[in-house]
Amino acid sequence: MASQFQYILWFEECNKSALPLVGGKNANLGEMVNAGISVPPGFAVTSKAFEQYMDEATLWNQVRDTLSDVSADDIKAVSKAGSAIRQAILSTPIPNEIQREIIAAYTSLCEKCDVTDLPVAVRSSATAEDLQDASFAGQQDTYLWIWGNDEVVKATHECWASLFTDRAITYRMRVGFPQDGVLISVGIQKMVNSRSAGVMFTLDPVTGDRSKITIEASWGFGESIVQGMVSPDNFIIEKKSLSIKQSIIGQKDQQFVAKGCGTVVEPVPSEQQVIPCVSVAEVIEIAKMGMLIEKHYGAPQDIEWAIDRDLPFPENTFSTQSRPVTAAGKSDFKNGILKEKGQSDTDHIIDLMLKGFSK
Amino acid sequence: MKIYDAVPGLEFDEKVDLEKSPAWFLDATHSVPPWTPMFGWFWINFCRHGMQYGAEKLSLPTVKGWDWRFKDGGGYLTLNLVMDEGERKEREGRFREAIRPFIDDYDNLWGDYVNEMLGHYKRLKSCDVDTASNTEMLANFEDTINVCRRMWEIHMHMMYGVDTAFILFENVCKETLGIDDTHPTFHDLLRGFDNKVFEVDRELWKLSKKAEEMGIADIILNNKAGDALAALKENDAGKKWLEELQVLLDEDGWRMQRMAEINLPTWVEDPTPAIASVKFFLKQGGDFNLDIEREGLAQRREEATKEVLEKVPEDQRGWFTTLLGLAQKTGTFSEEHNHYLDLHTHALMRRSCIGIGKRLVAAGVIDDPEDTFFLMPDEMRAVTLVPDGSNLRHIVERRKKEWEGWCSKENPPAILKEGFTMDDAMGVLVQSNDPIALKVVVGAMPVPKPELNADLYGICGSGGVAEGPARVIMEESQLDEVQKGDILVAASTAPSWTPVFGLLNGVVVDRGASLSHSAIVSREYGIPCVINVFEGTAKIKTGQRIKVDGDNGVVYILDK
Repeated sequence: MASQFQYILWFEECNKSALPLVGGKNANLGEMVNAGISVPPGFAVTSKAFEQYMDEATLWNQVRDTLSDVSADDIKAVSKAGSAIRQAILSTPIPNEIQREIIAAYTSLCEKCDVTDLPVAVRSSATAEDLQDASFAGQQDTYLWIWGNDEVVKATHECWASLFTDRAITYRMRVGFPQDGVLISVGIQKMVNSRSAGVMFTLDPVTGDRSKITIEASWGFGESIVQGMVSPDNFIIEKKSLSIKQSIIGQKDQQFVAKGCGTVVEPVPSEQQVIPCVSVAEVIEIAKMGMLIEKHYGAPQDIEWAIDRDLPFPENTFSTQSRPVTAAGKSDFKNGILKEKGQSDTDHIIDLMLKGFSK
Repeated sequence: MKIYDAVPGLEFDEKVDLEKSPAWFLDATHSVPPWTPMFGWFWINFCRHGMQYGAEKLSLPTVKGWDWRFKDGGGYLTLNLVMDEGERKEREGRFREAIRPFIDDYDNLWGDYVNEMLGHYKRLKSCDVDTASNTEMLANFEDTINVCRRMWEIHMHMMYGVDTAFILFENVCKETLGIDDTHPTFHDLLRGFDNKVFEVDRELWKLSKKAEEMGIADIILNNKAGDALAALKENDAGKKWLEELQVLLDEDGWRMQRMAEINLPTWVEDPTPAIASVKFFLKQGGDFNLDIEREGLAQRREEATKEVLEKVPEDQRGWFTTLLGLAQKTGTFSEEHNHYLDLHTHALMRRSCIGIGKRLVAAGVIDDPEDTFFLMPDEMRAVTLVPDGSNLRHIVERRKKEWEGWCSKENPPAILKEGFTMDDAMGVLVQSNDPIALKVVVGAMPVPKPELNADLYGICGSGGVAEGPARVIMEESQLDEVQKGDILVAASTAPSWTPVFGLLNGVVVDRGASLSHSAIVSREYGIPCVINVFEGTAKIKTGQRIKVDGDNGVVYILDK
């Protein structure tokens, strides 16, 4: 699947060592895929493609010239220079051979999902280590619900130009990072066509019990749960035996569905409202994915997941986002354990010890 | 000549003692297998004294320490409860001041005690047992008795203090965060600290590296530890290496093979156990894995601390952090105190007894210096200054025979008054709120969970799940048999077993609590450990594949 010039790398081919080629976001997706964690399929347009493009069109000279006299403190000058560079990039077409590679990869992604003009998300993925941590790195452009060959190429092109937003330029100046060596990769990933979706904790968020997984699920996209619009189905799974210990089926009367360039709310047909929106096999698959993600990151996770309409089970069970769960267990500091104002820490501890003895 | 009881005055007397208390518990952690009479005398007298001293010094509101009796080589204990409400109140007032140094000045408190004990040890060792006169030898023996008494005072004052803090911290975590001392986050908060026992292990690991450099690693690897010692003596490099080992042992080898007994050689006398430890490190290869583990554990501790503190209201974080800090000292104390207190004192007890024993052998009083373990201090006193013409063989013979009888049967786990059940007895224990009873000796009682369909139910000493071949170890000399990936099954474990943990996938012990050696060390090595399964060594056979589920506190025997 690897393309001839290494302009394209599928997520399966990405890992940490490919970071200079595919950037942090894509490398992370690759690491997840290689750890057996299912994410929406896609590929990276590598920094090599961008470099080839910049070299061929001698655009680096223009970057250097435009920014040579600009200081980071001069907001107006940065803005003017940034706009000029972005304009120069956008008016320089992407070489045919790179375009062909992107389109070929996109076509094969469409075929894989059995959807013509498959909607995808196109995101920039920064390759400079120091840029990845910068808070604005995530603000480099992301284009959702893009479909069709020309649109995908165009969104990629716009991501490239986003390397020279005013903020990015200023940041590089401040940290002394050269403007003319910086590279960017672009990730192109299937938009989830969500049949059912929800959230999962790889512990019991109430008791902090790490032997359990809890899953909430609803029809359509996950926003209905996140926004608290429905009472979702609720499952508790025991990790060790991978068996469902408890399932409560909720009333799911609304759902977000894909329409045009986004999602809209629609009512759920009445006969579907109170039946489970995921099968037992799907619940187990989601739980298994949760355990893999927890293992991958070494800490309990709060995961957004979705089941895709376009792919067969189990390939259709995706993690769309995960973050570590903060603090296991509830927090319940109530009277009797609270220190009163003016009392010393030591005296309070002694009081608590004495209370313990008199239990 | 009348032969006295093994521990005069403190022999268990069913009639009298069951009147005093309806339930006496066997200290299975320390007195299985049964003690020799001399060691039993030391333990029953001075552990008893130390607990009562510690409880009084702290003025614990609910308990005045424990009473102890000696029965057939077993130590039986019961709690001295404070029954009177008025007395409790009085004790509470004094407790308030007595516990303060633990919270405000723990490091100096413990540091001063350690220095005091090291001073005593230095004085005892300054008596050269080979050249001392009989008078000096008897003085050394009397001094040893006093040092042992003092050791137990320090031991129990400290232990009652730190365990009280630990229990409070656990209760606070339970009430406010919903996690108890079997919860992984709770373990994360308390682990990843270095201590003196690990330091000695690290030195032994360095010696394993040195053995590799000197080209003598194979001698250690291919022989049983005892044979390796003989083989090393035949070899120039081996001799040089043994000299280096001895330098370490002269400093830190004052420990017993069995923690609570003196009838096996100390490491200073016989480096075989130290060589066995070196062998474990050679089998593992690579770096000192406790250090590697510790880095990860320390990082997780910081994360867990941060995570937990976020849940603590801002104006409550001060005392919570202080209490957490004190609870963190508990694990370190649990390991270190064995090194500085029990083991070192017991090693010097043995040294003194054998020192006198050699003189008694020379004078024809007994046949073997170790026969002194079957005498009582008063009998030693009677013959040490002028042994000429005395003969104590009949005493030794009778007591030895008795002791062999004790060893051939099992002491019951509790002696109860008629009509009093084990449940009643446990109720009394819990009511005592005695921190040591709850966290070290007795531990939480396992609750069978039929839905798990396990073969043994215990409690979680350290989380995680592991599978592997079982290795049932009944005594330290068998440790040599442990292979990488084994799951250790034992009655309980002792500090000198620590290096073995690096080879293990998991641990199962019959008895223990969250502050017992097996649980603490498993947490430091990050391996699952199930404690208090009671019948592990009886039900599991070496070689069987077993699965240890630390999280649920259960064990599965996979091939029956």
